[in-house]
Amino acid sequence: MSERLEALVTDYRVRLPGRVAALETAAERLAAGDESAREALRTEAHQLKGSGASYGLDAVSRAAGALERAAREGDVDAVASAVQELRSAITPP
Amino acid sequence: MHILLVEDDPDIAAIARLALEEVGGLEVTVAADGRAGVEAAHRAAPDLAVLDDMLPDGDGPGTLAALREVPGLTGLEAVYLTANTGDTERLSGPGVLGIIDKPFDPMGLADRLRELAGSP
Repeated sequence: MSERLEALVTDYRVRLPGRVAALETAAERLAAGDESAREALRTEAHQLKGSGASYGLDAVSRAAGALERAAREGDVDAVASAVQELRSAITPP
Repeated sequence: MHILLVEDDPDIAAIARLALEEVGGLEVTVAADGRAGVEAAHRAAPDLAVLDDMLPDGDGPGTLAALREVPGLTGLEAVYLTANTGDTERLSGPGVLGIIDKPFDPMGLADRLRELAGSP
């Protein structure tokens, strides 16, 4: 892997916890009845789905795909579980 | 081969650019939306457009139509990038060489584009 690529992947991974934290906040807002959080969840999940595996994080793309679907359908329980899955996907074992 | 990549997600644009330049040895111009893409196309004279299908100012086919208005680019060919499966029919058209699903393997992206473009 080239140095530039390595730097890009590191930068992406470093920013992930912040992005997931923002999704957790949005999921809590949705659970509290704030429907406007749905679109934010859907858009951000769509982006993560599209980029995760390109940065070597297949589990991020999978969990983000599930989150995008759940947000589109407005399924609050599925949103909560997908966000949790996303959190696990970025947490080292 | 000179690629015009129009992609609004900076993470995808960055890794695609790096992969195409470093792994593929291709020349790449990046724009973040359709309007910037058209502006860049005037200077870059791309051989192939690689277009995200969900841009802030339009979809893939709309962006391709705008790019083809640029003098010299009437027959510009394109490949779409999409994270939505099932859009094949909407995205097909003359000069559309293929659709690449996101997420893609950056290491294989240049080869995939060359294969679609029938370019060695």
